[in-house]
Amino acid sequence: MNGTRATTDPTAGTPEPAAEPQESVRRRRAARPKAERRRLDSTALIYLVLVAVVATSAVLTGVEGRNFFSQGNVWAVLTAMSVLGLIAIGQTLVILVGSLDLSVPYVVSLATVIAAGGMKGLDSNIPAAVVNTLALCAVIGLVMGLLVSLLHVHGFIASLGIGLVVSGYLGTNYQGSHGAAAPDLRLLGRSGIAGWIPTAFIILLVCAVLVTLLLRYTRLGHHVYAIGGNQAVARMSGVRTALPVVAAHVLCSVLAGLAALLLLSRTGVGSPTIGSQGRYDLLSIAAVVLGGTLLAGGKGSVVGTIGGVAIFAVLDNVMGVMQVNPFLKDFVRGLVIVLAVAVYARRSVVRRPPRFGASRPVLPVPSSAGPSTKGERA
Amino acid sequence: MPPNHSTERSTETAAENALVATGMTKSFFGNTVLDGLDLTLRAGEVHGLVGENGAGKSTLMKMLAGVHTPDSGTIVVGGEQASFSHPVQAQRAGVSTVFQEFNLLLERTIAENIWLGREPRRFGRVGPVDTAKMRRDTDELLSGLGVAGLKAGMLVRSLSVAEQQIVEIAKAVSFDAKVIQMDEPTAALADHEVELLYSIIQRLTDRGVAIVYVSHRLKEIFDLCQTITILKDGQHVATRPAGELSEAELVRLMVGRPLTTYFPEKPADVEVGDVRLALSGVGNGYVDDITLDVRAGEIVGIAGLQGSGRTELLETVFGVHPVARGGITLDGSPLKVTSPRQGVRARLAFITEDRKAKGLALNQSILDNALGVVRSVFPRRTGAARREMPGVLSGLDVAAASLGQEVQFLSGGNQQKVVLARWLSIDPLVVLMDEPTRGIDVGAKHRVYELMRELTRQGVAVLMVSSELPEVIGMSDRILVMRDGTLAGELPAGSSEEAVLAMATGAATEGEAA
Repeated sequence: MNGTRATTDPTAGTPEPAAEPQESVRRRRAARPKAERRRLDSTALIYLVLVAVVATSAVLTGVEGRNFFSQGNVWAVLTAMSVLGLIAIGQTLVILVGSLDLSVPYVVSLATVIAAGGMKGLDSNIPAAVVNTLALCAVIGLVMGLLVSLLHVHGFIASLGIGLVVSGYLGTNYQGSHGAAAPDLRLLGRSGIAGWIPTAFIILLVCAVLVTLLLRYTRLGHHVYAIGGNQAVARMSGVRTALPVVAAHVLCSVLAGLAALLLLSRTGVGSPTIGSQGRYDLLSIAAVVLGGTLLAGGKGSVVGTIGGVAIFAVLDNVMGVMQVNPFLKDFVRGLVIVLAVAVYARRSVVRRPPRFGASRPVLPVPSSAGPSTKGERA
Repeated sequence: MPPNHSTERSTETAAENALVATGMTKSFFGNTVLDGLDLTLRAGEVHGLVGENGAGKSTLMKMLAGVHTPDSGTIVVGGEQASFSHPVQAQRAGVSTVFQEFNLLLERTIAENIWLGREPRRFGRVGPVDTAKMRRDTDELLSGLGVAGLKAGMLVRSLSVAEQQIVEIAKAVSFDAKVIQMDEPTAALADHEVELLYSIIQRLTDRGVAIVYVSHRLKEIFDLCQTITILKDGQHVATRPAGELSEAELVRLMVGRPLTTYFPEKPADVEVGDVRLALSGVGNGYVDDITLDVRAGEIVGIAGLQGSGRTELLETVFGVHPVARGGITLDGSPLKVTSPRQGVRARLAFITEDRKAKGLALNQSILDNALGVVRSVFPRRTGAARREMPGVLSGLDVAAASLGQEVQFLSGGNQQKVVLARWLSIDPLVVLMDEPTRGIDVGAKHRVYELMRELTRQGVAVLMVSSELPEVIGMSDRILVMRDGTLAGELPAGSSEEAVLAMATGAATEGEAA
């Protein structure tokens, strides 16, 4: 504890907060004469914060006499990222389209018990179990998507309701751990590249890249942003508004199912409570928001979300190393979320174009030309 | 007046009809809002559509835009029979519409907005979205409109209202539109931006696009249009070449009665009293060094270009923005307001320019809206206000089925009257008006002007911001002109539009020298 206090002062915030305002001021100044809109965007900001958090954590871990960048620790951080990361990618999609998914923890729990129950510890059962699990998740997502898009139930309520249904089903049918993961799956949980990068993390990256491509280079992706930004505008522009909403919910639930398989590869048994213990609903939403995605939808990126997940993973890791009491952990997490959102809110205020003065050089007609012709006309 | 000399060209192409609509009829809930209207648009003409709110202009536009399906009537676009049940069908057929409320996604780029719903794809139907083509085509569209400063990759949020409107027009053009309808396109534009819009319209008509131009500003109608169609109560009143109509005649046709004086005369019995509101050297991040006073019973108009800090000045007085320098006094005693609530407590009323976003709770009833301010700031006076409200509203000629009607279903003029009633209920000492007649019809405008005169009779001080110069000149006792956040000067009542404009744009010194 002493160590903490001594070290937080010089390292925790000082380099970053000092550098950040300078950066933004300089950019604002540079931006003004050219009327350029580019400022440090929120994705760059979140990765700057991530670097600062990593640096701080490295120092704090060092004070504890351990190496943050040791093989084992990097492995641990990346592993921790992968499960929440997959769920948060799905959550990003759902939030971008203007909905919300609170059912993820229950879907995760359900997926672990279904997959583990299907595998029964045998490699030969893997394909069927995986397909069954992901298909079940897809159906759950489909139901939520239809509730949201066709019956116009808000995602918050639809997913809350479906989550409760799943949780009720789990509670009545499963007590304690259930089934067993197949050895090959457990092997996957331990495998990786050069002992530094776990396979789970590679799966996360692949999914992140795929979803990013989906968002950037498909009509579906463009329409996800459009619907989340303004559903009326999207509809007026001829966008079919149901499909992207359904697709986002299905993908979110399937990604939660995938995350559950990764969990299963580590735990070895299905558990009906593992999802709620992980609090994946609120943590994934927090990671998405921390990553710069608007909670109302229409703006954000998977890249940002991964940054948000990484910040949480690093914070958790360093607090674990320092053996911080779990309640203080929550305190820190909560503080990070609230601060991040406050910063974004502040930035979005500043980002509005300046309202008076020499602020409109974008228009080609020089302001003197307008009135002069006006004078002639009269 | 740039586009008016295009009459020669339009006679050449007179044979080509871009759109012919016949017998357009529409009723809502058994209430006929448009009755058998015929409209013929020639290629390359600007066709003005005028009438009071509720005359059926919007209904007609929305039917041509595919938002409403007509009960009966036929639409022929470019010689082909067409029927639309969705805006996109109308756009594909060649009829695009720029609505008053923009259909833009603020967090997306210009290109993404223009091509929304029909993003170009590589390799046929299954390929990825061709973002490079989107960008190229967008830049091409924009330069085709003669717009230099906008780039395809800019976020729409970073654009001014005028620029967003250009994006809307570019989107309309991108459908290869034969007809572009514009609903109050200048409602939120400053004068120099209106010039740009004129030049864009000129380019479009040169290409043979027919423009349907809806505006309450008659000056623009006469500046731009070759033909004017007048609607009243869902009926076709007249379609005439613009040259054959005078402004007075047009107003007579629109309202069905001659409005002898557009602005009510200053009543003789109003005595300008002591200084009510005084600002000395007020400054903050938006305005600077503002010194002015408004006396009881006086209307002071503030003119200036969009973005010159007019709205921010009113907001500063009202407590929306803190005062960093200088001071404000009300009836001689210092006024310290740091929030709108304190502004209301000091009995300042603020009629906002954006009534839909900041003036009204659209999905609440007329009565709830009208009582909104009193209820939250002077709860003890709510009961009395509730009893008086029906009288106040009917005194303002609010046309509504009942006081329980949601304000979103009212016309703009009636909504504005509800806003006024909302503020009258606090018995204001000072009324700050920001664009008090924006987007409302001639009749409602007249009522607002009369109300302003009534207020002065009661000794209320009125500080009014308006982009409509005739309004500022016709209503104000004194005219203050703002430029770049400061006061550029003061002009007496009845000054010419040119004088106001020259001062607002900084051309004043040259004008005086010459």
